[in-house]
Amino acid sequence: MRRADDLDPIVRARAARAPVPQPGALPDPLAVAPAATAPNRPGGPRTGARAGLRRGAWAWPFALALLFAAGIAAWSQWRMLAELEEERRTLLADALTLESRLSDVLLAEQRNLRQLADALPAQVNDEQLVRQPQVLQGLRRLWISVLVLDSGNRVLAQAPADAARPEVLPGPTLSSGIDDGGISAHLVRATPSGGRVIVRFAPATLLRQTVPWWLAQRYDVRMVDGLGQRLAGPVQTLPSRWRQTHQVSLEPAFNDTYLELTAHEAHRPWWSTVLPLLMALFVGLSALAALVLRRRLRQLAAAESRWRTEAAWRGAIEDSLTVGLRGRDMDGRIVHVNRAFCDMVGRSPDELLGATPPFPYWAPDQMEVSMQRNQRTLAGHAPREGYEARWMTRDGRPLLVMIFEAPLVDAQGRQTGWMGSIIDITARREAEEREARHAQLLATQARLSMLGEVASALAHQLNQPLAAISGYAGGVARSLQRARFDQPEVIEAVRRLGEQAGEAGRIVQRIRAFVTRRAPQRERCEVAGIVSRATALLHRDLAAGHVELRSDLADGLPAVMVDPVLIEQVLINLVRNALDALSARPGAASRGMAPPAGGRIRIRARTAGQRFVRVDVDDDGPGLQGVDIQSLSAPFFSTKSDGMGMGLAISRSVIEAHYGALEAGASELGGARLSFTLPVADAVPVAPPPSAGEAAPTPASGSQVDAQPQPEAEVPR
Amino acid sequence: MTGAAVPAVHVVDDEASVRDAIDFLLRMHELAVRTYASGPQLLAAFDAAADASAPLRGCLLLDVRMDPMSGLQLHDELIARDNALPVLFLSGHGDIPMAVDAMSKGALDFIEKPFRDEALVERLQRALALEAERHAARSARLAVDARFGALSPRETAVMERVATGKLNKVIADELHMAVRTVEVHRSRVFVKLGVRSAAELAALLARQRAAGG
Repeated sequence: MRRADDLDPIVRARAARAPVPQPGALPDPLAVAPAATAPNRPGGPRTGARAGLRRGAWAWPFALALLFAAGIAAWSQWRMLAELEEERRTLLADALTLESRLSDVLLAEQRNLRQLADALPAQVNDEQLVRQPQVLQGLRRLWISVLVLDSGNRVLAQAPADAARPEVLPGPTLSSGIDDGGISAHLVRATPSGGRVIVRFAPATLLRQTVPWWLAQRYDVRMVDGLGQRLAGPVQTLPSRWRQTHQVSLEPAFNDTYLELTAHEAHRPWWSTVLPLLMALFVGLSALAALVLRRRLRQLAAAESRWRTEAAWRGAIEDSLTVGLRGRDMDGRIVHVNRAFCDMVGRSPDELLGATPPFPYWAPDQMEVSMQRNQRTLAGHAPREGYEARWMTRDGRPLLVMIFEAPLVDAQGRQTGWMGSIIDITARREAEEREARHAQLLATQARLSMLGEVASALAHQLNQPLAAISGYAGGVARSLQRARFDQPEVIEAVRRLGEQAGEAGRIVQRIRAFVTRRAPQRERCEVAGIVSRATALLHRDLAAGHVELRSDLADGLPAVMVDPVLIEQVLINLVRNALDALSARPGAASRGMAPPAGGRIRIRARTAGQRFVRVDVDDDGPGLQGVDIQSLSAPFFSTKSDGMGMGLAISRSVIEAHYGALEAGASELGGARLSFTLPVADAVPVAPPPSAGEAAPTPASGSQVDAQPQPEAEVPR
Repeated sequence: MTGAAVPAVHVVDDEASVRDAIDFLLRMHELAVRTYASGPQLLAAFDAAADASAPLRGCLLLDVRMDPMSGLQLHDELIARDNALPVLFLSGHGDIPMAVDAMSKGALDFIEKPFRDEALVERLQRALALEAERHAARSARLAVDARFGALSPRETAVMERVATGKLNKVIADELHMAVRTVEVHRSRVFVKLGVRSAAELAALLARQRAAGG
């Protein structure tokens, strides 16, 4: 497993620097937009004030609406005051104008009255009075009645005659009082005779005749006395701020009398118009809008908070994952990596983000296949069950990874890239390989122990007849000697018979000793010697099968360090197998007694590297037909109907015990090729044994059995 | 049965061919051979011979792997019967622990099949010579035992004291007898045992005791 120590200093420093996910430093998950080439990292923590401002943002439109409404109100107020002032000015001007006109009229009446008074005789009756032009004119004009009093206040005459006589005579000056027709006013003038002329008139009539229509339309025009009593004009209403009024004294034309103008229409203050309603409506709607806004903002804030929490969660999850994550856009550019991924490939995010294929972590010898896989992924054909790739860390260590690709989809459902999760299976694969090696070792052990059993039984069975042969031969030799037999070569032959039986027993013993885990007895010997001894033993079989055996040994082959008896047996076994394969060919059997077409077998020896000699046994038979060395060398596996299936199993064990490898493949002669390697004498390792990779070059067309030296065989006894 | 007394090689092997071959080989070397097909067969012959007071002579050549009784089991049985004959094992798949076990129990040799004929014959001849030697020694001891048995109790008491080198006078004191009587007994013991001096007597006695007499 890779440890943090294995990382280069930069990555380690990084890992130390950013151990805890900070909300502000989280990579933006939506950064996989094509435009974004780097995770968007929002700025530092915002201040409380700014946060407050943001939180209160919804109130701003409402506050502005209030301000606007207040402005409108202020403006209206100002406008109203200005209008009132204007109205008042107009009122004053109108009042003064009217007053002067009234005064003119009254002064004219007084003049008339003076003329009348001056013109009246001392004794006047009613008829005379009426005949007076001033009286006629006056009555016609304004006057209601004219009363002439003498100095003793007795009525001398009156016009019209039926005019009621006042009970109480008014004072010498203007007086007012209520008569039947309304309030009337009096003009009094002393006569030269000491009497008085009193003219009664109605101020209302006066007003009616004097006030122009346009004024009457605008104002209530009244005449009031000093006490505020109405003398003429419409009934008084309460003056208010909104009904402006103004009094002007009618002096000197009319003592103690005031002209009062009151605006006909009350000024409507702005707040009693539709404006405040509109404003209220506006403010209300603004408030509603603000409330809606506030709700939306709160939802937004909640959503954002949820998103931040989620992002923090996902960030923490991503960082705690041992699975590497790699986000890429549609062009294959890396837009997102998590820490596990960085640790895995031993590179910093800065190096990786924005990188485009070929990526820096691809193994140099895998560039082409990596690029093909990349094209496949971007085309959307990445296998769902994931695929394996071989990468390389920054410091050059190989990295086996399993990659699962999934499309990245944005909020609109458009695909924006690919997200790959990457699992480091280097350790797992190593463990698997270790396990496989272990299993293979176990299989070898099992094979050996089975072979041991078989060989033991075989040895016993073979030894009995061999012992008998030996015994008989010894007995015959002895008896011939005793009988003075005169043909020493016969005696010698019988003795040889016994010796050969003994030799056969020795071979059986050796093989049995080997498979019952005794180290082979290695010695320095020449490959040529082994081959020639083996071919000599095979001579008869070859001749019988009309098979041509050719030895092709390279010149200057180095001596090998092997047990010659065992290696001879292996070679004999391989050649016998080839012979059997040739004789089993279709046609070979059917020809029966006729000599078979005869196959070819070739034994070839070459050096393989500096430490091994490689021996190939080729034939032009039917070949292996896809059966590999594992199956071939399994105990009791045989292609022959009468075979025990032990030959190759033993051969393989023998070769492996010599640190070599037994291989099977296709021959250029057209049939099978079985090869084994033997260690060169001067390079034979004592310990440790060569690793599987160095043990023998692997033929491209053959399955290979890695040399697995037996633990027992490693240590020479 | 006069044959019982003839030293022979007793071959036990359940493999008839081996048995026959060994028989042939040994006969050609002028050795007496008796063959047995199994352990029980040998034991029967062994017991019969012992009962007839004419125990088997020679040596035993046992195959290790046999049915129903293996060579090693047969060896154990023979040990239980106080077998005095040398035992050699013949093994088709000799392995060291088995050989060590057999040798520690008194087997003389362990020969692997297939054997070289000269080696086998030579070892068997050696075993036979050994047995002959042992047989002679045993016979001699038995004769001496008979002579010691012929002494009267009083003579035995005198003899034991003479063997330790005591003077007649001392012996007379210890046995409460006259010196003269001691002298008579002494001369009679010398005659019966066939020795001429006290030293010779002591050596004979020591040998006899060492042999477990």
